Amino acid sequence: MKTFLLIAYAIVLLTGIVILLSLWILIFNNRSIRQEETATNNRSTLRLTLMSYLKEEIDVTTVRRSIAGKESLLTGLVSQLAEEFGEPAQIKLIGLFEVPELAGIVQKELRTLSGAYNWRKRQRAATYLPYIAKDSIIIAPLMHALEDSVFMVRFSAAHSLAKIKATQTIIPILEHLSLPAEWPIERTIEIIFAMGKEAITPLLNYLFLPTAKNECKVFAISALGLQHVSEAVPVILTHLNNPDKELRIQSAKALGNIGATEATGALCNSMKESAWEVRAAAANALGLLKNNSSIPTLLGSLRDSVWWVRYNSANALAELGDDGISALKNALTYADKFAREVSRLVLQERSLITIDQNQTSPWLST
Amino acid sequence: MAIDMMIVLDILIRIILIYFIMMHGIYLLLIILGSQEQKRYHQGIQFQEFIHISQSPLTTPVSIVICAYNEEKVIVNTLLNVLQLRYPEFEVVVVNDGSEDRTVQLLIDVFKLQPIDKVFKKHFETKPVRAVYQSADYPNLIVVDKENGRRADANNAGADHARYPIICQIDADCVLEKDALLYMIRPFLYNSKVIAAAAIIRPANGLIVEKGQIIKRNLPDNWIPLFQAVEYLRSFQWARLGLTRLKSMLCMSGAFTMIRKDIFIAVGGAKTMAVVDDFELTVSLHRYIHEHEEARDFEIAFIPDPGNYSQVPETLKAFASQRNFWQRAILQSLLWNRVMAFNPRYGMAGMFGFPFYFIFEALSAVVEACAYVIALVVLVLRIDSPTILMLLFIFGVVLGTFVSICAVLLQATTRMRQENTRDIVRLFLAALAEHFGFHQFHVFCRLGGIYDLLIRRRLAYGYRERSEYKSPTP
Repeated sequence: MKTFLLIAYAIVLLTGIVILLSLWILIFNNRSIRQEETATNNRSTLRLTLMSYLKEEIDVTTVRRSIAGKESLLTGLVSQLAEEFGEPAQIKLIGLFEVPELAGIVQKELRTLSGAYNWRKRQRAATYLPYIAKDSIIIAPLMHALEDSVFMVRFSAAHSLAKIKATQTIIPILEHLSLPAEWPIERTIEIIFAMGKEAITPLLNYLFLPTAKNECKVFAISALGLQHVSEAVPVILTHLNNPDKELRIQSAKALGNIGATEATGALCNSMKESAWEVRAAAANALGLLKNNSSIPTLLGSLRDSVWWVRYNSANALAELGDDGISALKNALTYADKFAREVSRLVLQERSLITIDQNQTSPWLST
Repeated sequence: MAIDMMIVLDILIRIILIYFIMMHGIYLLLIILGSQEQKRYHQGIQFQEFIHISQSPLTTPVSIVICAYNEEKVIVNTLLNVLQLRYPEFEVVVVNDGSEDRTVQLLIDVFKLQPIDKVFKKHFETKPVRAVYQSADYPNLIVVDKENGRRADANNAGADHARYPIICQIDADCVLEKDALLYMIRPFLYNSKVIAAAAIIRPANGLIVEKGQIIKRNLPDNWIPLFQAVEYLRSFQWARLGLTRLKSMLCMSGAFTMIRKDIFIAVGGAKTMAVVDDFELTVSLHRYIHEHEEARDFEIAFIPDPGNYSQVPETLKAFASQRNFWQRAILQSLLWNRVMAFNPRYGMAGMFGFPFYFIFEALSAVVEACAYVIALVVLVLRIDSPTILMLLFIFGVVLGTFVSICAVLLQATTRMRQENTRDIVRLFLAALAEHFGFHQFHVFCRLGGIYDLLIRRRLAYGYRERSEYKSPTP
């Protein structure tokens, strides 16, 4: 029992210590609250100063004087203001960091990006650099960061390059972000999409490259679709029959997003695909194209073996306007139970019919 | 004879003391691991990240499934809260599990529900669905009215009616932070190997809610929910975070869980024969991960952001009923899945998680009760009583208090700490006082749970209370 007694004394001692620590926390809680208030006040003051600078009510010298002693708050606050007030504000705020006293902040972040041992610091630097430095200074280091050993640093660098619309970096981004198997493709598509219209030409050029990889083409096609690039329709159409299923799915989605009515026939052909995911995507796309010539194909797909294809086809018909809706209402009388059910569901979801609560069969609204 | 008894007693006491050291020691380690994990989580959040997620057209849509059984007091507020969440695309599927009160009628009136012929692919055998309604005001709100089949059955029916690839199950008495879904979806967006996520649950009893919006996050006024707040902090926040780090977290709270629909279907959905489905579902997920070669890399995430608040019992009667129920749920699931115990095939979940839950969660009530009985025997027979009694008191009560205070202490040093000093004082006092009476009552309730499961084979929940949320004072 001696050992237990010794342990018991230790427990009592430790409990006493944590109680004392708790008291210490309580005593200093008010001080911490005051410190937090001071930090909040500093942030508010600095924010007001920067806002005045943006409104050109004060000059750089006054801002510099107000910043003295609050440099640690500057990067985060400038980034927030740039996000709130958009590109003109961002350009003006970047100008602040060109004065000699503050240029050191940019140099420090650049050094952190290229050499910090802690990857979180490198990631932080990659995130904030576009808000505090000119594009010409940061593109090369950020491109270098695309080869960082830590994926999250590469991801942040890609985000930042997309933010400054460095279209020359699209291909390196595609190639460096398609590496980890667990990485969902949507995140890379978001980055390419964030590049905006400037990304269109490089993406189109990439699709024509004989060396282009399928996994990277998926991102390119999807981003072109989200940008509604009609010039991309011919090249996307060539990918609708690619052996890669993901590429066919994204091609069908992209054609729908673009609204390429000339692709109606090709998409109707895709409704005969063996992969249901492609059929479902093609049905959705046909709904977006709003071309009545697809009505017979979509009506046929109401009998598809997969629920999602039937549901997307019914929704697509409802999107086609009066002709599609009347075809869908007509499908309520089909012999096929699945076609009837899905038509009824979509019509009810869109309040185009209601069900009589006393009967099981629906009646059509007038 | 007397000497034999003394030897047995001595051995028993030593075993119990070692048990207490191990239990509280592991808890302390888990709490420390949990705090590190939380720090890592907060450091990993990028600038503007949740804004990007909330605005992206490519964020995965989510179906929120809410099971409701006699929830007329809270369901409208819960739905108003959920429908205001910041998230690009989501639907809410309320499953009325044969409520005997006005739950359905209330929903029909408030949300202008209209019946629809919902067509869906049936994955699970559930109790018959009487009707499906859609709201005229909120097109993303669906109410499934079905016959009573208990929570698991309702969750399965909800999953059947959910159309999106990710299901978020919440309780009908929950209040979510506006960005709760964004917090929860984050691990799924950045890692396609994440199949499920759970999050910190906090007691909702002190919340002030107006039109479904959280106005103020106070601690509960009463001591019973306050003790539970400390327990939630220690066990549901820090310890579960630590267990997640060790890939051993076997309990995702059903009050707020997100899971991939395909995986939910693959594991056979919620088990209707289980006392409660959440613990069993988590264990099933671990089994799925380790029994399927293609699922080996799958992960369960735990989000250390307090996105969800759930009502905890305000009276001893309701508390006893709840803890009896939880004890039955844990023990039943552990007995069902006993093949996992110390089985290297199940990785850390089998080698650490399962034994931890069995020895230090399911059986702790029995060991603690033994300690109290021995203390009584020692006291009555006057056997070297001061030393033994002191040891039992220190290892059983003081050590527990020590761990609780550590949990509160860690909380007070994070960004999730209480806003005012009075609340921190109350939390510390609750941590100090919890082990003097309330914890012993808790042990007694859990013993009742073991008896009810093993002897009476009881599955039903028992007594439950619901109260409306506080409104802001005018």
